[in-house]
Amino acid sequence: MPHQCTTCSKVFPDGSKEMLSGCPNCGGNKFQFKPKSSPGGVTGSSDDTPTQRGTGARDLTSSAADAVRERASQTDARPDTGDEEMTVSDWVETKDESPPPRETSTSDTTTAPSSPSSPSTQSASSTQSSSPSSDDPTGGESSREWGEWPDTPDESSQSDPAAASTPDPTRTDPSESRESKPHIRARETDEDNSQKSARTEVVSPEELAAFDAQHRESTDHPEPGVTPATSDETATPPESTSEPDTRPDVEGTTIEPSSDERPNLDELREELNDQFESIKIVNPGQYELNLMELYDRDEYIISLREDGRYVIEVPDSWGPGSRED
Amino acid sequence: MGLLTDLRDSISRVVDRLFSESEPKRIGIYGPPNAGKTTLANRIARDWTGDAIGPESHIPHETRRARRKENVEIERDGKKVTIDIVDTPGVTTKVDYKEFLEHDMEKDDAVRRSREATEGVAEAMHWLREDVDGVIYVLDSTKDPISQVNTMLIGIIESQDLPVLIFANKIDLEESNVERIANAYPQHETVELSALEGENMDEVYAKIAEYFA
Repeated sequence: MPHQCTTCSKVFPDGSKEMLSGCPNCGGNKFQFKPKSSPGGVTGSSDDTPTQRGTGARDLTSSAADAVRERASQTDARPDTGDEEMTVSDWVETKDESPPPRETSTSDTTTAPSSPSSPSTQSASSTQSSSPSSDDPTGGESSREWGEWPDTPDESSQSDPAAASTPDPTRTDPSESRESKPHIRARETDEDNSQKSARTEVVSPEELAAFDAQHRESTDHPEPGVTPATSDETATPPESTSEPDTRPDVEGTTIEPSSDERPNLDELREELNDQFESIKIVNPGQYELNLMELYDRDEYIISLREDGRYVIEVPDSWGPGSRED
Repeated sequence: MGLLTDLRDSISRVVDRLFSESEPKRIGIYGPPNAGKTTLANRIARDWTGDAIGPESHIPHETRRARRKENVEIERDGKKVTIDIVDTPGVTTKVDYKEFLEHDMEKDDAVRRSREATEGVAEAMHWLREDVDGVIYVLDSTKDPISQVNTMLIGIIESQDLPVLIFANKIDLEESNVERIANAYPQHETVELSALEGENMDEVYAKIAEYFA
């Protein structure tokens, strides 16, 4: 239930732009945002179909990656001005159409050339968990100098999951792999330790290996940090069935990138930012504004609450009324 | 009394409109935070109507909602123009409550101010799109005029074909460098002034009457 009208409780699906012109039910313009992610389902990310959006951390990571990729491409095209012409609908469509980004990184792992996401998923999710870089989104930001949007430290930290994965899951362009290889390698070595420690608390390598052996004929990765890859066609991947059940606590900390006291708010802001990126809520009291978006758009968020509530100012309540009063 | 005054004001406004050639032009005063927009707006409003528009402050983002002063009649060199002045919140791409903590503000107040300032920028951008007929772009002449915000806003204003005057404010300060502003935006007329001290206001009003008539 991502968006809900606070007046009549009407619920809007994730990515909906229906409420951008006010609630069709009651005309209200105050909404709250509740991410649909459930911590338990998070790492079931040795992934489903490319077009299907996952939940929890997988979704978060992919949307962050999409956001960064989008920004990056826009930055390439229009370096300085932050001139972005996407509308909400464009944005949503882009998100839906774009395949899950992390899969290509498997082209690095020579042992599983055609497999989907497992290794990179883990590197991505561990980026948010206990690796040193997990402090970047907040610690870095709270103390950082303000750079010029969109090249903020925040975004560059977001770009880590994206950088570890190239957009097209089917592409196995060797040059591309070569380019991203050192980066990924570096990350993997950095993160393996933390991954191991996190995982061994719950599932031993032996257990995993045994489990994998049941589901796969050849198990090339007994190491827990690199779960064997499963193809899309394979029935339920081992991870998705076993891990959510066995390690809910680990997942609870995994999604916690910034302020210690409010883990879910960051996730929530992330999603909200992705959908209404004209105003980015970096932290409570810290905002980044996309002036072109604000200028281009009829509707905008006029009231930002720190608990996920927001008010969308719709065109009807502007224009004529404001001129007459 | 108040009612009578209101009535008189509104009647005179109607009469004014009947006799004026067109509706008052709505002139937005834009610029980055702390450029002196409200000081300028107050100076103009006081000079021509006797009233102020809003509180001024050295703390950034003092103006967090657009404020208007209607029917400001300015006459210079035989030219007369009636404008509605819109003082807008300072436009920026980043708002951080920590900026306000330096001004002895409690964190809660700073966070709230930050949020309001953000909403104010959104509002200002919206006004720029639909509700202004001309722009006075105010810059602090002690600062580098080339910034992402200034370039983008002036670009937007140009794309709208809005008449624009660039005001190089704070010339009373030693570090003021008007030339830098004129060079940065040579396509527009730059007028130097000190809104705080009232310096060069004659030229300011002459230019307003000339540009927005």
